[in-house]
Amino acid sequence: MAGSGNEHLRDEVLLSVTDLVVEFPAERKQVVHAVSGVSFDLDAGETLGIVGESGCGKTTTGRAVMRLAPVTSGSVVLNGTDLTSLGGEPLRQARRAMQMIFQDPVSSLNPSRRVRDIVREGIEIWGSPRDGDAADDDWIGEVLASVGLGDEGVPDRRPHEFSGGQCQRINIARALVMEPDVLILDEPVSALDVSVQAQILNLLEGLKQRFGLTMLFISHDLAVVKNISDRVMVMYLGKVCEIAPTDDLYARPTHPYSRALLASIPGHSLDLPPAGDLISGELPSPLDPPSGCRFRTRCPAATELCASTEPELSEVAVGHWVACHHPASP
Amino acid sequence: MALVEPGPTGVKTQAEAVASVVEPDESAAARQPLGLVFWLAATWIAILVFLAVFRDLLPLRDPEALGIRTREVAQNEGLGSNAWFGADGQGRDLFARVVEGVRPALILGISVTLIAGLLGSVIGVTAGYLRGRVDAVTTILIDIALAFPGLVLLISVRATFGNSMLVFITLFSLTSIPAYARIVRGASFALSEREFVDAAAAMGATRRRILLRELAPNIAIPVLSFAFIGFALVIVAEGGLAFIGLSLDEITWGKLIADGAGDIAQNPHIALVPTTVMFLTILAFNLVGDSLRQLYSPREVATQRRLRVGPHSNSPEMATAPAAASAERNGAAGEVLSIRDLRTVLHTPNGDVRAVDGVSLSVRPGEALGVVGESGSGKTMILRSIVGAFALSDVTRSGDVEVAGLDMLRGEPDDIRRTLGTRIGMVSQNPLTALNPVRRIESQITEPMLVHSGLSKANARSRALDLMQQVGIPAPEKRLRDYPHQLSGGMRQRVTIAIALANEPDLFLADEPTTAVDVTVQDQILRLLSSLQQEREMAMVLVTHDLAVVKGFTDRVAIVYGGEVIESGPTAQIFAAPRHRYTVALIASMPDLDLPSHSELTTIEGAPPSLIDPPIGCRFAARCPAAHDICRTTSPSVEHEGASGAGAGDAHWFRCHFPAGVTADEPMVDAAGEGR
Repeated sequence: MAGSGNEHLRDEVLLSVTDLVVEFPAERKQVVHAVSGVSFDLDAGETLGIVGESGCGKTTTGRAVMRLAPVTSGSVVLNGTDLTSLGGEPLRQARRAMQMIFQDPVSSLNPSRRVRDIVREGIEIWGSPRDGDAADDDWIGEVLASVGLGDEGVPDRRPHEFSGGQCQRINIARALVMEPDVLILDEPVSALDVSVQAQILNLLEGLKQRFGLTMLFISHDLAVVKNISDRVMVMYLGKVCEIAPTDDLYARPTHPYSRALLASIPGHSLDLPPAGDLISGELPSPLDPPSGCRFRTRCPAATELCASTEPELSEVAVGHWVACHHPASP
Repeated sequence: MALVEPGPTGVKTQAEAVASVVEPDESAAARQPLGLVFWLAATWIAILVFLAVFRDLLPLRDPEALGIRTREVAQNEGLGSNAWFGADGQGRDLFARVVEGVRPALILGISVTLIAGLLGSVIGVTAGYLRGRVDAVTTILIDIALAFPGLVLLISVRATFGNSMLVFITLFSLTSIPAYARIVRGASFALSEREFVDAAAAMGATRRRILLRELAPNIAIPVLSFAFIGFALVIVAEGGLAFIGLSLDEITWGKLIADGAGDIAQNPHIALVPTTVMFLTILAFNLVGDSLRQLYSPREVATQRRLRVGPHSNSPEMATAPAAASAERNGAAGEVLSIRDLRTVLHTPNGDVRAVDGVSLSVRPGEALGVVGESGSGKTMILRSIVGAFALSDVTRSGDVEVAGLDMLRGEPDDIRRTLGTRIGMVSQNPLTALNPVRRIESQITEPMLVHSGLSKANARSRALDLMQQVGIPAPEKRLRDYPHQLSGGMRQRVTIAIALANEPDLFLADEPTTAVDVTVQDQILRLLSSLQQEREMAMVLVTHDLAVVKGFTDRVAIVYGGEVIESGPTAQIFAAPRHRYTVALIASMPDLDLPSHSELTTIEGAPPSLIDPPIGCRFAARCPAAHDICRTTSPSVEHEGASGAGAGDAHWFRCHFPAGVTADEPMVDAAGEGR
């Protein structure tokens, strides 16, 4: 798997990430290969889900797009501007168009500040396109109401007075106030109870319609990703395995790793063999990833070809791309 | 750096898991009051400040004026001294002299604290936030500065510049800066890893802004707390220096003590009065500093661990509890675990939390029971109540808990310990904290066998190898010699399972066993548990928030809400036809893989009830779309689905006045017209 290749990229998109590589130095001059040549794009108004297990590089990918993780090579082009070529002040300016939501809703909010100041932070930093404070206040009020926090007392309270779900709403409001082109969400519902998770997912879906949001939704939870995404990208050990329209991917998973992931969901009713027959062994070290296809050490279908040659993404159905020498027939 | 991806789901430590039950209502986590001691100390400091500021307006004698009768003279004349604290050896008013010493003490203390605190904080924040080379260099400089002998510096500088206040302030400040810098560096280092700092950076905040807006306010309290203690240290240092003759030109407490020390046998009060004042001052500043630190970490209030057992339950509800029907002793119904009307109350500073409130459950050999609920529902407390393990609270348990016929609440402590060691195996959520990081896997697996089964070391070792193989650990010989950190998360959880299985338990308790691991590993571990449980005819209780796990791996399920089991029955039946409105909503809020993407999910509005003061009537009523008036006034009794009577413990039952699929979904218009 673990493919490279850029043929799946489309023209005229909002965000285009090409051959993204993120490497971290490790002890004894070794290198952690966190993300190794990942390419994907986001059309305006689209939600792309990134799924995979710990160590697949999904979080690092999101952080690298935000430039919160150092980009070793590759490009991140937003609205025609290559962010990786920017630094310092121009980067700060360009990044304004992207906002991020983190996993821990409570820890993402400064405990010593009031909701009013937290949500206003972007305007404080960047100034406002609107006329005067009153217009800003109206806009902030509208955003707070749109995330379900329209009650009068809310702006004067501090984060510890809210539940986890409400804190995540505050985080979303803080991002939306900036009217971002792209919203990157890193495990935004993983710390929440299932009933609260449903509220946030419905909220995001509603906000997407209302504000025309473009989202990069990173999660380990396959059911959540299916619910929210238009397209889904499966990652393993820093590489892309498969990228396809959501319902197509879940109905016809083609990469052996995608199949193993889906078969591992407890109580699923998909037509797949037991997960134990689809994956074996343990995740190799990102310090020394396998040659060729990175999934080959755990793949029941692996051959010598997989060890010698890295598979490239190829299209098996319309918009359905797989990086595998021996894909399951879709 | 983001080398490690955050694990799936919010992984809670055991303490947090308990805390979430202890504090079901977040706003109830009120700040601790500061207490009488704090206010006494603050009053003392206020008096000192008053004396320092208004010293010149007070009707005090000149501290240098002679002519006060010393105690000796006073005794000879048969009169009392004409000053409050008497006079010193030269006949000067001791009270006036002590008051005179307040001002230099405060000037020195406040100046040093402000200068060192500010400079130290700037250095500390910069190092802690910027990290990298800046941090490394700063840390080395701090270490060198802390090792520098300040006394030598003082002696040499004093020779040149004299004893003025300015010299002392400068020297004391210079020697205090490293301590502040170190504390602030530690605090900012930890804070800058918090997500809100990332969030501000993602928002495009400049470094300056992050330092001032995000870090500084959160560092203020620990620094302030240390400043009070640092203040006390300055006063102590001055006293010590005065004793060896290095002091200010002004009258200081240290000088007074040194003066009086020579005459301590004859006139102890001359040294004792300034010593007492200095002692009280140091104590007061330390106490205020400590109180501020507690304010900074409000959870530091650890109540003593105490377990209490209430009387046998004879509440009327018990008669209706379904397990009561099969309540013969000693698991005559073949039950390994039998819980009847269990009530667990956590006594917390905020009130009594009824974490488990009248729960009845039973499990038979070879059966897997899922206990499912959301955070704060009390599901984990049910498990803890079985084994009597509570992290930090003062807890009372009542009702009945029997494991293999033994009364776990009122049995002999030795019997309970033996049952825990030999009949019960337990696996908790976080495999890393469950294993001792400094002991090899082998000693951790063999320990329960050596302690409880009296196996020889060699036998225990070969059995450990067996267990490792059974739980699917490759190269078990090598792994036995490893330490926990050398194993992956999935492997660690297998090891904790192997440890739990070591004494062939009859009852296996698993608390969120796969919440901290990835989905492919979760599948392996749950399959493993499931097959072991069936092979060994073990009874298993699987506590989880994950409905999918329950659906895939249990025979029966109990849904917990607000400390109560609100519905229970065969897993397939509950998922196919849930009756309680909460169960219905919970299942519908789960994203369904069988539905197309973007399907709208059912949500449950509102928040779970407080377990300190649970609502009367049905605990779900306030959030229930089908609630009527009766739901808010009368607690629903247990209703059995279909044929009741025989095998009632296994049957599908629920506590709902208007069960789904039986009554209409919409609430009837109440006569009173009362809305929600």
